[in-house]
Amino acid sequence: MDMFSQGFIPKYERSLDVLSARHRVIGHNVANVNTPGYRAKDVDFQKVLGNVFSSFEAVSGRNEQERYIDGFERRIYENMEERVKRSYVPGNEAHEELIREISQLKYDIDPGFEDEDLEPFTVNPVTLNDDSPYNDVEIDEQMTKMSETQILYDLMIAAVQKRFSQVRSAIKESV
Amino acid sequence: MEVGSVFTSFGISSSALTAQRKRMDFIANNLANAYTTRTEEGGPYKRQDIVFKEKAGDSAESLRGVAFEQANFEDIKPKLIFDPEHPDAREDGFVEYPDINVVNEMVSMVKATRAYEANVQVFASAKAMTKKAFDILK
Repeated sequence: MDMFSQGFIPKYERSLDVLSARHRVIGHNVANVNTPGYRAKDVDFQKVLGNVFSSFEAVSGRNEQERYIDGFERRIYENMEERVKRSYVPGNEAHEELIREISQLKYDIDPGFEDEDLEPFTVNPVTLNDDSPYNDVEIDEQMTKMSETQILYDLMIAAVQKRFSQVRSAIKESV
Repeated sequence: MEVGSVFTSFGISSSALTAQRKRMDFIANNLANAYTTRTEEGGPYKRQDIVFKEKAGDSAESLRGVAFEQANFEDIKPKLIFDPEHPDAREDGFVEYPDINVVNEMVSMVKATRAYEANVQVFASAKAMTKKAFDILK
């Protein structure tokens, strides 16, 4: 099972990406604190984190061990698909049907997440009715958001470290 | 995450630091010249300031912080003070002084200082986050 491209790593990667994007946007807001007519921006990081971690659950809807079993199963289907494709005869109806079935099975196993679903750069400009030079950056709000983002980022890093140390100890114990 | 984005984050904060510092220069210059009656162009000193402008494209990826432009206030009328003894006094005895409100300049100065501090905080936070990311290697 390829744990580095399917396991926890891409999810944490994605979370770190969205958090650093948010941090960047907040920095941009603070940089424009005295810019006339500037409207504060934000990134919908909760939606993205929600997607990432709900797909975490959704793959199994169950516990971690079962998720690994799913990954294993998926691998089997992939293997099967590859073999079927290798012996593919053009125009053979039954063959095509089989390929379709297998890829459906694969899909059922891992709903996962698509890159476009997790587009982290949903910046929402706050829209006001008028075009006045009023600037709606609230510095304390931005600072709060910033430390929130930073804490979440640190948390994600700690979580990643923890997972890596688990993997590492699994490798060590096997020797 | 592409490597550039870390430094983009630093760049955003540093653009603001530059802009606020530049503003501070202008404020200092205005205060220093609050009573200047002679300039190279002739007449009293004229107040100068900068205006901030957002530096960004259409996407969130293209956020680049803040830019600034110099703003001149040519149309502002000089402040007239009656002082016939002054070497630069007009024939009617009034002296043209720059119309600089010291209180306004002080307020702008405090604003610039606070904005500068806020951006330093953001920079420090971005730096801490980047350093933290290196901890994954530990």
